[in-house]
Amino acid sequence: MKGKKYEKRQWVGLLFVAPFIIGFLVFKLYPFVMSFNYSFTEFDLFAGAQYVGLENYIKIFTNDRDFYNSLNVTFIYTLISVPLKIAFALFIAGVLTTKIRGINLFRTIYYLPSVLGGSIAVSILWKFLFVKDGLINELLAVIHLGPIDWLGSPDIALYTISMLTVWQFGSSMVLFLAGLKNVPVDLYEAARVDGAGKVRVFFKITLPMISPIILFNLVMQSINALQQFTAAFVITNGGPLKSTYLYGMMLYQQAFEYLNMGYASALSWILFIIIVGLTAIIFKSSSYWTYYEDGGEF
Amino acid sequence: MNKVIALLLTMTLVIGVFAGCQSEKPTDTNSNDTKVEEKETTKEDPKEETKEEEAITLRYMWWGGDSRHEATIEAVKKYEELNPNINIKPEYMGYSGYYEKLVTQLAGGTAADVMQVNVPWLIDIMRGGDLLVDLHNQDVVDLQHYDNTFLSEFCEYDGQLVGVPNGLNAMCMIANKSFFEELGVEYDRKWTWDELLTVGEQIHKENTDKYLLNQEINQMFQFVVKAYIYQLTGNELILDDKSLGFTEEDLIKTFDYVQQLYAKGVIQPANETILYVANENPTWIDGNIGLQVEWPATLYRYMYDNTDLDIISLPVQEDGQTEAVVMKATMLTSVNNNSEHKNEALEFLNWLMNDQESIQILKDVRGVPASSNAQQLLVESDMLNPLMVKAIDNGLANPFTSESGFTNSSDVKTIFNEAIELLAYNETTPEEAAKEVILRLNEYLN
Amino acid sequence: MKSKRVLTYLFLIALGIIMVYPLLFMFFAPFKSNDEILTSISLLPESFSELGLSAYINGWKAAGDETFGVFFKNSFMMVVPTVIFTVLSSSLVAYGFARFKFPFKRILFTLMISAIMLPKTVIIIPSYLLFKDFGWLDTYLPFIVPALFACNSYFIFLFVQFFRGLPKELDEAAIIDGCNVFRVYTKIILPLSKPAMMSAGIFSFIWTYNDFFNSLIYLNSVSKYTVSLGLKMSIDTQGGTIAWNEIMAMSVLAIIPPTMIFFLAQKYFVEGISTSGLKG
Repeated sequence: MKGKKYEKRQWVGLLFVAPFIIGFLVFKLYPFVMSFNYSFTEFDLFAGAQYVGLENYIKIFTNDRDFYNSLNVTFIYTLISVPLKIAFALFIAGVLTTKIRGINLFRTIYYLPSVLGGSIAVSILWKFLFVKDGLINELLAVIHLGPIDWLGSPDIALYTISMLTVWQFGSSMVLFLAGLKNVPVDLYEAARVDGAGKVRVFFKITLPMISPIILFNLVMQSINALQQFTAAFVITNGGPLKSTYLYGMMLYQQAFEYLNMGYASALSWILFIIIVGLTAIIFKSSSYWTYYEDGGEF
Repeated sequence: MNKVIALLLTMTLVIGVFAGCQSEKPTDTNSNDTKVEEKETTKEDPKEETKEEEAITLRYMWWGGDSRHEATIEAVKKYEELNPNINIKPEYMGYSGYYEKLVTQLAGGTAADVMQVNVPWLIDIMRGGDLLVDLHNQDVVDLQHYDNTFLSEFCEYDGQLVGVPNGLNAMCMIANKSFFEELGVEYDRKWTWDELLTVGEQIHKENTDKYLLNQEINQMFQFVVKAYIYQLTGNELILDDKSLGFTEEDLIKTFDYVQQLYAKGVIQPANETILYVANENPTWIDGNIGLQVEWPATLYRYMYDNTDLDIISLPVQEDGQTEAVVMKATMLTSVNNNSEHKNEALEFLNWLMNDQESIQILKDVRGVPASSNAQQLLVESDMLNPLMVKAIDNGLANPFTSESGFTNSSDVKTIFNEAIELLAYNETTPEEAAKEVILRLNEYLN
Repeated sequence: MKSKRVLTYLFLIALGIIMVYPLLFMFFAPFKSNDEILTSISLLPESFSELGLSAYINGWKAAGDETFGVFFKNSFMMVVPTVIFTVLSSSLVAYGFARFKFPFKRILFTLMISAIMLPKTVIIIPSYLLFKDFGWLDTYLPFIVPALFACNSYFIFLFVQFFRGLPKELDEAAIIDGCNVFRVYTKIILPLSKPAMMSAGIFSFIWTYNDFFNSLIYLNSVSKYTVSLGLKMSIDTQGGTIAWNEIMAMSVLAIIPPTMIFFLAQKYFVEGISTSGLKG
């Protein structure tokens, strides 16, 4: 009896995901296949495509001045910005569940940087903050430090850009807020009855319960960071000396500045493979540190 | 039961989409036409007969700022008034993203009938062949008031006249008068590049917060390196046969000059300017920089409260091959070769560029007009900025030249920019940089 | 205890200032001249003149025939259906992934996640050609229709993660009580995941609303421009002056809707659920 019911439910699942299947076939498959095709061509948008086999890929790995540098820059950027952003977002989300007056306003204020996005005011302002005689250096001078060449120095600019990304931690924070809300209250109560301290409660209850959201943030932020380029594009334009020349920016320039669609597609597919690999690792490892109420069956 | 409901749900989703499709269907094939009809019917129709005549919609795309948008829309309306069967759909935007949009539309076969195009883009977008109407092969657009050499030098790609030049640009120096008055330095004269070095060094030594020249790294190539090499050799950077117009020695000399500009404090250190486009550099806005090599059409962007501007001619080489000024068209207006209404588009273009009324509406929103007729008309009615006119006169008085072909390609630009940045940061020597640039240029050109 | 609360406040306020500074800067910028906007970091303008109001008035007029009123209306026409469809379709698909075993599930899930891994840069042109063939250029359909089909995997995955955090016993109990799967979805899963729905709604609102590049490519008529296109419409780096104070004025207005949406939605992130009642 139960078995039969289960059988039935299986096919219903397929029905639920049907919109995605249709959407994927109609809107995603074609661009996907096309870009894969392009990657084996020398495709000048106007002169047309010419099949060149693996030439693009060979050139990328053996004879591209920017490839390894950009890859390196992008990895550093991802390794710094993603964990920091997630940790910070989680911490703030924790603070913002406190029951104090005006907490609604604080939540909104902390989310504001993410609403601003790439707005012009933000880019003007960041320059004010981080130029040589900018606000941050003036503050540092008060405690007899600096000045630091935040954006003008090739050794530091990338870290500064990463900080700016962390500043827009709002969306991760929102997800943690939502996740924290889903933690059943009686779990906390039970822990309190057992006399567990705050730190213990956090590590034994809160963290496991929101681990699916941590996983989500980790995966999505990593995918996003590896493709990112607007921050660097708007503020430093990849410089100085290509120290913030993110992979995404290189790709964009190949596609829309030099109009080498074929080459850009090959670059894309290499990044795609890297992202797939990284995500697979995160997913594999996640079975050790995530906890699902559904018992982990998937 | 479960199945049924889930099915229903997906069905509604699907139906929703098809409904969406259907309601949009009529606009599908030519969304413009439906719009025209709407407009036509709602019009109070001064002329009933025009309805019999086929209504034609032309799409006209340009980039610009507020003043250009407003003037152009006014001109478009005027034209619609004069030609009731023509409806012109203006598609205007800021500069950011315009190139990407143009490229996508050209590649997708959806470009506007009439569009504004930047000359340096031609090398990249014209590889596909005849995307733009060759104005040599038509007699609708009247070109008699345009200088023939200018047309062939500045607006042709591969022998095709791909657009009408809207305005003239002649490389010049924008000077901040008050900067020089304060320092007691004479600025209104013909500078040599070497004088810029010595005077600039002196100024910075005496006033550590002041610099003679304001050039962001990305402008160095266009306004210093290209001009310097050109005067040195008398050649364009890349010749028509894809060979280099300069020797390694020339390039070393040029790069050495660039490095000295930074080393001697003629230019603000690279790490301070890297964040700003030149006209938004606070040091310039505060009036602490004296000169800027630029196109005069950008003049307005350098005006601030602390700056009192003048225009002077480009620096020259003492023993150079030429003193010719590099000129270009501010931009072209071109007709899409795949347009369904090519003839009407050409007629509109002709009116826009040559009609008295249009000229007086558009004034100098696209730079000092390239047509002598228009120039005269505007000068007579005192509608041109005298500084811009001064720059153009300067250029036209000298032998002038254009940059064309691969000299404008974005690849070449990148190769030079990277070398210049290394020089500015003192990370390379002029010799190494020159070697690297030549190597990469040859690699790209072959 | 009290001192701890004070400390929390101090921390929140200090951090809040950093977060909100750009907004305040934007807010006061319309009262400043171009010189002042570009050279001075100080918040307050040198003098409060009538400049501010005129910046709002002139900025609102935009360039040409259209006003920002039109752009705001357009943004909503594009954003509202996109948000609603995204939330509905993504949660529906996610429910399928999170709660059922079905053939090809692993492959489909992998496909779903990988759909966001290919850099968008190279998909722009083929997507453009596709929407051109559908005849959807110069309409909001390139945004709305894909939303209907859960084409942004970000949201599917988001819902999957939330649904999997809900105990399975809940739906099993409901099924035994005679609920069908669809009722389980609407009566149990959705109400319990309000915070997730709110998050998805907020994100898709802000991302669609802020989108510049896609809107730029797909929309031609100025009468169909959205706010984010309108904001950049007056910026020409090639000539002419830019009225920064007007652009700043409109930027201030532009962020009001998403901020309001967030402020209103965030009350759903308040307290944890008490499962005891549900588990009965």
